[in-house]
Formats: sequence, structure tokens, C-alpha cells
Amino acid sequence: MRFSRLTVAVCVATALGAGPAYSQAHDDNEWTMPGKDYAGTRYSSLAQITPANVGRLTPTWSFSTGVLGGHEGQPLVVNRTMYVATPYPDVLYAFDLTHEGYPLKWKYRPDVNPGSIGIACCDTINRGPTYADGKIVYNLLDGHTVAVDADTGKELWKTKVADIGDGETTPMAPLVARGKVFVGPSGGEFGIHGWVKALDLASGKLLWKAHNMGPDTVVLAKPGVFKPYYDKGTDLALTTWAHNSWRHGGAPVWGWLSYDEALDLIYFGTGNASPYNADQRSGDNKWSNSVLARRPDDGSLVWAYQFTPHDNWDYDANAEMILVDLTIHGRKRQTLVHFDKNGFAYTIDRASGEVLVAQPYVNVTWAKQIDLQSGRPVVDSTRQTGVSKGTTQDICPSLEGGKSPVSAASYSRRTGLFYVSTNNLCMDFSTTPTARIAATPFIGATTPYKAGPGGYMGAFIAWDAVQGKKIWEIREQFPVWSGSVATAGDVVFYGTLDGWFKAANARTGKPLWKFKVGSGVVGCPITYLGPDGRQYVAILAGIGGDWFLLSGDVRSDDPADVRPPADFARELARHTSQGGMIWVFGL
Amino acid sequence: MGFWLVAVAAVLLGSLLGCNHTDRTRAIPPSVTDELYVRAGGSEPPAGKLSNPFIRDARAAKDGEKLFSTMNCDGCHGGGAFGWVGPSLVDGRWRYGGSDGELYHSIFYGRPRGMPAYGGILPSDAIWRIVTYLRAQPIPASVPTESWIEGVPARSVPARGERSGKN
Repeated sequence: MRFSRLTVAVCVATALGAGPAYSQAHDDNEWTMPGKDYAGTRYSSLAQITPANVGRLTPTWSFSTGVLGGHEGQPLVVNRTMYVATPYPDVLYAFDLTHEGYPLKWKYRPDVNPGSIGIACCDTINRGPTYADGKIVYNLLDGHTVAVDADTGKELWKTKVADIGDGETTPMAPLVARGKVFVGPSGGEFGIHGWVKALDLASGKLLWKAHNMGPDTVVLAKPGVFKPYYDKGTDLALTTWAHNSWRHGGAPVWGWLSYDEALDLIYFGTGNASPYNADQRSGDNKWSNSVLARRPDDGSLVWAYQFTPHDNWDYDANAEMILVDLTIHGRKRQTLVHFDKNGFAYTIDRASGEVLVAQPYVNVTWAKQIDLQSGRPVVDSTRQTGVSKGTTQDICPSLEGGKSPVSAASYSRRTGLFYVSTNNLCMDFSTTPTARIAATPFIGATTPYKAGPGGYMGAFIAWDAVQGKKIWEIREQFPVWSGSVATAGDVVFYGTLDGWFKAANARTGKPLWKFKVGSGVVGCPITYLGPDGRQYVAILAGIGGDWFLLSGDVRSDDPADVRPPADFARELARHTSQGGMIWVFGL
Repeated sequence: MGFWLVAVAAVLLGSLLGCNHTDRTRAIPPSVTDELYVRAGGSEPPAGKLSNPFIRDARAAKDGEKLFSTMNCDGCHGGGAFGWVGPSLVDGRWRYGGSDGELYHSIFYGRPRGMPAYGGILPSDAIWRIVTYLRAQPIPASVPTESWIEGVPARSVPARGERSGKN
């Protein structure tokens, strides 16, 4: 691990005028929704743990989930209870924080269709539950959303939202706002017709469904309501797909959603256009690889912006949309900050969809820059892919993204900086024509990876979204795939694929503390105040997700599946195997 | 009490075996026998056998390789079937048996942990070509060890266990 500090002075200046999108809806002693708040800041005002004392942090509790799949997402802490949802078979645990050893209050074991294992593109992950109105709401891998009584563990409702027979699975973390549960499917590798749905929180009944592409009638793009900043015309999500390719065009919704109460808009990103062989779907392929702003009450599309038109690199835009107000060019703006897989960090006016700042946060070769007049990337023609292009070399970032949407970034109100786990990987890309067969992969590409410039494969960075500038970075041997949490103690936490959970100084990037948690970290840390009045930090360990596919031989429970070492990261399997553990640390 | 259980079981078994034995066999999917399965009483179940019409047919294997890609098998099992979200099919190890008939069964009916059933869209002939392709893959020597000790080669090919296919 190497540490390099680029600039430190800037962050103090940019903190002025920065603030959260709106006041905290919940007590900072708890963690009630995936992104901590509707704005998705993953920031806590708890400040007991500081750069001065974090070196004394020790594990105070751990628990094996009994599940091997990739432990993405984060625990919740509500009403002196910690809730954890596991990967398939999607067990929900409720731990009593008021007793020594955190014994279980209850556990909920749903009956999940194992057929979903083969429909999930990239391991049997779950990105966590959310809490609202006495209910824990989360998704099961096989296309169901459930609500469970937070006190008793009793199932209150279970709604089928997605169809594994059509390539849809549901590992994403729902958002609850305005009495509604918002969910979406995975399936960008299975040729789904991406959508988002709203369910009634009380009953689980479907309220509305909005597709990400197709005619305006199914996209819910209504005249006078839908006003994209850069695009004009009707049926944009239909006419930008050749040969009706929108019908199986992917654009899944498997990342995080955020919500602005004042503007009354929900925000979410859409994933890749299907199939990877882009020759089969000429056009921009709207609204794949985009951010969409919809009205929570009826799903109406208010604006949309496409980060990667005619995606031919699998640059999903499912990463979190963090809602903060920033002063840009002397003017206070309501912004949305997004670290796209395509390697650019975007600061966008979240009321209008205008791109204010767009700068690369990692090494980028597929595009030279983002043209702020048109909102479009200035693409390098030699990095285009498709059957007609043969094998395209040295595309950066790789399709793991400059940052994985899985590893949610955090934002500190005190420093005004974003804390981002990044990958330094590039890829070659060759494609084949592919046929869509329901419930089988619809991909048609081979994409070997290699480390980017410098030889290291990842870094944890601090980003200034006003200037579009990296402030510091901590380099890591392997890609960094955990989320992060920022605290008012000016300590940030993240984890690594080789199984370390780490703390760094939020202002300087100085590494302060680390602990080996037994398996690689692809989850997102949280912090909370225990019933004893002390601040704790919790993280899920358990490598998986894409890293089940990419790490070589890390799943040891099946003697009939033995794999060669990962070609670009041979050392990774030396440091970790799969296995889910919940860890809590305190002073 | 143990005596009565055995006696009741014997009567039940007798009545099952006594009537319509052939009809019952016909209703059982072929190639459910699998050498990985333990057999109660040491007796093989009365299941059918399937035989591959393309055994060691290089051209059929070539066709099967194409089908492995066009039917999107590689999307889960990886290019070259080295394993991806689905298990490796070239490590010489099998969850559900590795004989030609067992592979046919897996493709035709699917398997419960997400292997889709292709029997509804692929003719028998095509499934046999995919089986022939998989069976034609070089089976690595038995190397269950992966080593990071300097000077010892890491596992470069997947290990082959003792339980690989029969044909």
C-alpha cells in the first residue's frame, strides 16, 4: 500500500458553502436506510472516534452469517436493533444491541427460488434492507420484495416484482419515501426491459411501473412534464434504438436511489445497454446508462441525462446519486454528484439535469472529455467496440468501472469532500453477435482486464466536486470495492478486497488504522451510537459479487468447482476466500 | 420396533416392485443414475441409459463449441467453460455427474441452482453436440493444490478429481 497526498489545502476552502441537500430526517445515532439519508451522503455527525484515538479501535463483536455469497450493502441500526440481510438465501437477522453479545431477537428465512442463482449475473448478492414505519423492507434474489415487522420478524407482505424467467433478479436495496417502496431489477446481462416500480409501503401493492426505454407511454414521459436539459423531441427512448432493440435493451436498476423532499424527485441510475455487442443496437440507446429523475407519486419522468450514449463498454450508471448543495462559479446550486463507471465524476444541477462539472476521477481513454454545452462525451474513435471493430485494446476504465456502483461513496459536510473507492483497471474488448434467449445471458463479449498505469489496481480517494479534482489518494494493490462512511470525527472508513477494514484521516488521507476482517470487503460501512452511548462502526465482510467471478478460486464449498487463479490478480485468492461476517468495532 | 419398520418397508417395496415395473421405468427420466449418488442397499435404481451418437466425433465437437456460444452457455460457464457465475465444466469435476448421459440430462432438464432447461428449445441432436464438445476438452491432471510458495508453480489448470465422467 502506498500513500500519496496531492493537495490538502483545497478541501478546507471548498467546504465553505457546502451543505446537505436537506436537514437530517433521522437521528444520527441510527442508520435507517442504505445511504444513511435520502441524499445518500453516508455521513454521520457522530464524532467520538477521531484521528487521535482511532488507533485504539478494536473489534467488539462479530457474527458469521452462515452464507458465502458476496456481502454487499450495509447493516441497519434502528431502535437498538441491528438488521442484516444476507446474500441468497436472503436471511434477515435482527440483533438485540441492548444485551451483551448482541443475541438474535429473531431471524427471517424466506423461501427463495434457487433458480435465481443462475439468473443473477454476478453472484447471489443483496445490497441491504431499509427501514420505514416499523417495517424492514428488502428484496429477495428471486424477484420478490418483502416487508417484515421490525419488532417481531413477522412477514407483513410479499410481492412479486420481477420475473427470473425473463432474466430479472432483485439484489438492489429499495428506497422508501412518501409511503412508497421503490425497486428495480438486475438483468443488464440478460436482455431485460429495465424499469422501476413503486409499491405501497402499507400493503405491498403495485402503484406504478415506469420503463427506462420504449415509447413515451411506458417511459412515463409526459408532455409538459418531461423536460430533459439537453434533448428535444418525443419518444427519445424509442427512436434511439435500431430495430426495436429497446425491447431487450437492458438498462437495469440495481444501484441506489436517492430522494429530494423539496423538489419531490427520486433519482436513480440505469445500467448498461444490452447486449454488449453494440452493433446490434445502433443509436444512443436512451435511457440506458443514464440518471433519471421521477415524481414519486406517479412515476412521471421529469428529466433524464445519459452519461454514456450508445454504451459499448458496459459502463452502467447505477452508482449512487449524492444530493448536496454546492457553490459553483459563485452560485449556490442544488446538485447531484455521481461517480460513473465510465470514469468521469459529474456534478449536475438536480433540478434541471444540467451538467455543471464533469472531470475524470481515474485514468480514462474511451473519451477525451465531457462537452458541457451538449452534455456529450468527446469519444476516442479508436476505443469503440462492436463486432465490426474487432478487438479494441486498452480501454480504460475496465467494465468494473472507475468505481463500482456497489461501493457507495460518502460525503463529509465538514470537509466538503467525497470519499470514493476506485479501480485502476483497463480492458481489451472483443464481441460476437448474440441471440436473446430468455433466462440466458445476452452478452456477446470477451473483456480481459489488466492493471492500469502505475501497476496498482485500486485507490481510495477524496474528491472535490466543485472543482472536479482529486484531493488525496491511498493506493491499494487490488481494486477497492467497499463503500465508505464519513464521520464528523473527520475519520473515513473503507475496506479492501484482500480483507482489511481501514480508517483514514478525512482531511489528509493519512492511513490511521486497519484490521483484517477474514474475507474481502465489498460491503459498505456504517456508524451508530450503541445503547451504552458509545460510537461503533460496523462492516460486512465477505468477498463476492463480481469478485466471485474474477478472483480465481475463492469459493471452497463446492468440490466440483475448482478454478485457475485470476489472470490479472493472481495474488488475490492468497489473501481471501468467501464467507460472510458482520463486524462491529469500538473504542 | 426396528423390526416392524423393516417389515413394513419390505411389504411396501414389494408391492412397488411387483407391478408395472416397465411402465414405471419408462416414466423415469433417463440417466438419472449418477455414480456420485449413494445407493440405498447398494442397488442401482432402474433408470434408463442414454448413449451419445457422436462419441469422439471431432466435427460434432466443433459444432458443439459453436452451440456453446450461440446458446449463451459461455455467458454463465465462461469462455472455454472455465467457470464464471456457473461452475467450471473443464475441471474434471461434476456436481451432477460427468458421463455423456448425465451431461445430456443436465442440459435437457436443467439443474435446480439456476441451470436453465434447454430441452424445450434445443433438439436432442444439438444437445449431444454440446455434450461431445465438453467431453472433448482436455482433462487436466489431478492437481488439487494451488500454491503460492516460490518455485512451486501455481495451479495453471483446474484440478481433475477422481470422479470424472464414465464414457
